[in-house]
Amino acid sequence: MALTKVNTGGIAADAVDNTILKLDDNFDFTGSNTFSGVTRSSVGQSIVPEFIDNVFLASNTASSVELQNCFSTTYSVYRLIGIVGGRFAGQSNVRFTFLTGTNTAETSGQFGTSRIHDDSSASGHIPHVDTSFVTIIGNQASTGASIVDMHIYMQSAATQILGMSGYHDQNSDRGFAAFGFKSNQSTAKTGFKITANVAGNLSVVNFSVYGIRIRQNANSKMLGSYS
Amino acid sequence: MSYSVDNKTKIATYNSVEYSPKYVKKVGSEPTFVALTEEECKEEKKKADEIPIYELERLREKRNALLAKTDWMSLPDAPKMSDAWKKYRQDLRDITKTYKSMQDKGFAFPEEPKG
Repeated sequence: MALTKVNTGGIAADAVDNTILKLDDNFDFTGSNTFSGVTRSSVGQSIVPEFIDNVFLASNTASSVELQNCFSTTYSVYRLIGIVGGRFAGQSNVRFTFLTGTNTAETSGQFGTSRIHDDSSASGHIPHVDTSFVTIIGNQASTGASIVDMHIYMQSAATQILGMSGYHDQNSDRGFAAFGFKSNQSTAKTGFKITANVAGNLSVVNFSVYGIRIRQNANSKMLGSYS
Repeated sequence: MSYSVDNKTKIATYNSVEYSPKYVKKVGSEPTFVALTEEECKEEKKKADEIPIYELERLREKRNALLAKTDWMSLPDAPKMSDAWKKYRQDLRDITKTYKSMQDKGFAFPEEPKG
């Protein structure tokens, strides 16, 4: 619907404190605010995550899931949050791979580690040196799914991933994985792919991507370099 | 090396083994099932070959955690370890001689001695 201009003189004082709403004023809202759309900042420097998209995969229907074209220069930081299943047929780790260009999976460049601990005192360390993927979940039981909450920081010549996931393994032990990775690939990321570390169909995946307009330089990239 | 795709189900067949499709969503579009390429089938086959290695690693992780819980018993200033505990720890060490995965039929870690 086209916007209609209303003459200021035609706006009557409202019922609260006999004031007139001026859109360039600052307001302290005391009631609840309900938005049917997305809360957005047009000026950058905002820590508010803006919803980009969600991908939902029904359990045991596909061997991997991809969300394409979800990363762009609009945002410098992304938050990915939701539930991610591993291999449907048995325990597995879960891998996250960036897509670049025309949504082609990256083949190298990830450096970092996943640390895995559970309530039976078992622990694991999955180091990655120049791998095509990063491990975001360790030892997820079959038919189940982990909570995953991770951030991706787009830098000028690198990408950094920090995150955590909570898992329930095949022996009914509960634990978590904490992971941190840095990619030395400067090619712009366009999306991501999720697979298990062993072959087979995935369990349910319901994963959402949010963008955050944290800007530290003119190119909307986080400062810092991998070198 | 043969590769084919069932265009209806999007299931790829590579070397007589069937591979499920991938699930692809472009932002703002409806998701679709896409058949794996021949290269992707090769990657899946490689991952299938690695299942026994992964399963054995998981078994060792759990076994090592159980051993670590009783490591203090072997310290010089700890009370002398009983034969039952010695046997328990040796059975843990030997478990990979019998089992290669915690999913193997009949698999169970040895029970801790009482007392």
